[in-house]
Amino acid sequence: MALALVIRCLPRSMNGSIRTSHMWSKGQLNGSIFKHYPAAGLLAKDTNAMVAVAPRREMSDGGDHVKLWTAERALSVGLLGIIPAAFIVPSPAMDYLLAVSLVMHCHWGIEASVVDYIRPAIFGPVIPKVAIASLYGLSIFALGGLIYFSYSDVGLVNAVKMFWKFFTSPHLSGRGCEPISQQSISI
Amino acid sequence: MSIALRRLMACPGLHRGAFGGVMGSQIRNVVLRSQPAAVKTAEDFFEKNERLKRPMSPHLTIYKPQITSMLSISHRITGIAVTGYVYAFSIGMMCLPASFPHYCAALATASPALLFSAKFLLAFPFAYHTCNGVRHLMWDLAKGLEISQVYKTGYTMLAATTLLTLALLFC
Repeated sequence: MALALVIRCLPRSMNGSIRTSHMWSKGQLNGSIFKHYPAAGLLAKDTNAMVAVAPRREMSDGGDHVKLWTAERALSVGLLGIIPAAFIVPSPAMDYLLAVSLVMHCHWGIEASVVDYIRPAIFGPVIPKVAIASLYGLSIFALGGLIYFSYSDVGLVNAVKMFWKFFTSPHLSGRGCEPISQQSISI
Repeated sequence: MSIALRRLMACPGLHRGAFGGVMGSQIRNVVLRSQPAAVKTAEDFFEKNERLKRPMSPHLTIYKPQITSMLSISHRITGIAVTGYVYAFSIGMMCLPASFPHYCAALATASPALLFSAKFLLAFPFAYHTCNGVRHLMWDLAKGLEISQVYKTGYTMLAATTLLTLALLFC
C-alpha cells in the first residue's frame, strides 16, 4: 500500500474560497511539491500526517509574472533614453512615443503600488478590484489626453519647454508664451 | 499504515513474539484495515488569527527609519508624484477649453517665487526617481546588492539627484 501524505495546499482566490485538500502519493512527492514547499521533505516519513502549509496569497492565481517584469525593466531602460531624446530632437513622432512609454511606465508603477497597499485582507473583496479598474480608466484617459495634446496642441515636450522658460530667463517673464518654433530656446 | 507496522509484517514470525508475553496463548488473528485520516476543515494562518481576534504585532511604527527603507519609499512616493503630474496635466488639458499657450501666458503672471517653487516641485521628484531608478535597474542586473554597496550607491544617488535637480532648475 502506497504511503499517502496529505498536504493541504491553500492557494487563495480573490473571493476567498478555499480549495479542498490534495492527496499526494509517494511517487508524486519527488515532483513539484518539494519545489514549492521544500519543508515538506522533512515530513515525508511521517505517514497520515496532516500538514497545513502556509499558503501563498496572491491576487491572481497562477500566471507567469516574469514576462511582465522583464517588460517593465525594458521600458524603464527605454525611458532613460527616450526622455532626453524627446527634448534634444523634438518631433511629433517623439511626442507620441514619449506619451505611450511614459503612461505605460506610470501605469505599471501605480498598479504595483495599488496591488501592494489596497489588499483584500484590509479592504474586502470589492474595493481592490474597483481600484485597479479605476487605474486602468485613468491611464487610458491620460494616454488619450497626451496623444490628443500632441495632435491638436503644442505637445508635452514643447509645453514643458514653454513653462520652463519662466524664472530661468527673467527678461522673458511677463512676455507671455509663444510657440517654440518662433523662439530660439537652447537646451 | 505506519512504518513500524510494515516492518512487523515483513517478518511474519516476529509479531507473535512481540506481544507474546502479555497475551500468552490467546493469540488472535487480527485483520488490520487502514483508512484515510479524517479530513479536518482547512484554516490558514490569517483566518486562524482573525478567528481568535488576535491583535497585530506593531510593525511600521516600531521599525527604525533607515536609509535603505527611506530611499525605497521615497522612490515610490516620487514615482506617484510624477505620475500625478502627468495624469493631471493630460486629463486636465483634455478637459480645459483653451490651448496650452493661453494657460501658459496666464501662468506667466504669477510671482517668480511661486514659479520657481513649482519648478522645484516638478524637477526634484523627477530627478530623484530617475537616479534611484538607475540604482533599481542595477539591482535587477544583480549588481550592487551587498549592503555596503547599497549604502554607497544610495549616497551617490542622492548626490546625483541634487546635481540633476540643480541642473534642471537652472538650465
